[in-house]
Amino acid sequence: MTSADSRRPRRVYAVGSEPDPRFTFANERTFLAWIRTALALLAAGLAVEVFLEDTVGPVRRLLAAALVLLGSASAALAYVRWMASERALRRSEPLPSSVLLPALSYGLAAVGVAVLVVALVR
Amino acid sequence: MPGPFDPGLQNERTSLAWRRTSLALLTAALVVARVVVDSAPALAVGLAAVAVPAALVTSRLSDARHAQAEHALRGGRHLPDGRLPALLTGVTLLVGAVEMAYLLAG
Repeated sequence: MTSADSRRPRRVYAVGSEPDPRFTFANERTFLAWIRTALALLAAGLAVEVFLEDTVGPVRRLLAAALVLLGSASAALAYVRWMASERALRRSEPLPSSVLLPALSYGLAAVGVAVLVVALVR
Repeated sequence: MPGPFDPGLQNERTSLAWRRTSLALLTAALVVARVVVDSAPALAVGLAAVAVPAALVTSRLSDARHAQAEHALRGGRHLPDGRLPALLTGVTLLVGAVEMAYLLAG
């Protein structure tokens, strides 16, 4: 390609060469799946706040906030992960390992247990 | 390139994923706005005013994205870049920020 490359972000497209398009598509779908996960977590946070009426205000709010934080962190990390993966694909390097999935699993499990305990205690 | 033109229907699957995600974003933004509106109307209106058009624009742009990818697969220019993913991330973070503000204001 001789025309100027206007693709963004430059940190991704300025390096390496075009990967197999299938990998790019797969990377994009993975990113989108993470965004949907983030949105589901945001919705769960809202559900905790709205529906756990019997739970004491501050406790309920803490649980809801934890879910919102997990969701927001997932969204931000999803984009970071997308950039790092696309870069690795372009440079034919191994895909970056991500702390995202294990961190999310532990965080979600912890909040889930907390919600269960709180809901049952009341 | 030998073989089927788009093995695995990658472009179509990716575009469907965009559709699902735009819809999820629109839904989340509206639900958050609806819950927040009673106690913080300005926050709700602000969120809706930004997130709803953004979700609709994302939907339209993902159609263009599909067309661009189709063109790229047939030997045209590059595949679409990271700007639309960045927009999607930004609006999702906005929904989260409004929700957090609502929780903290409690």
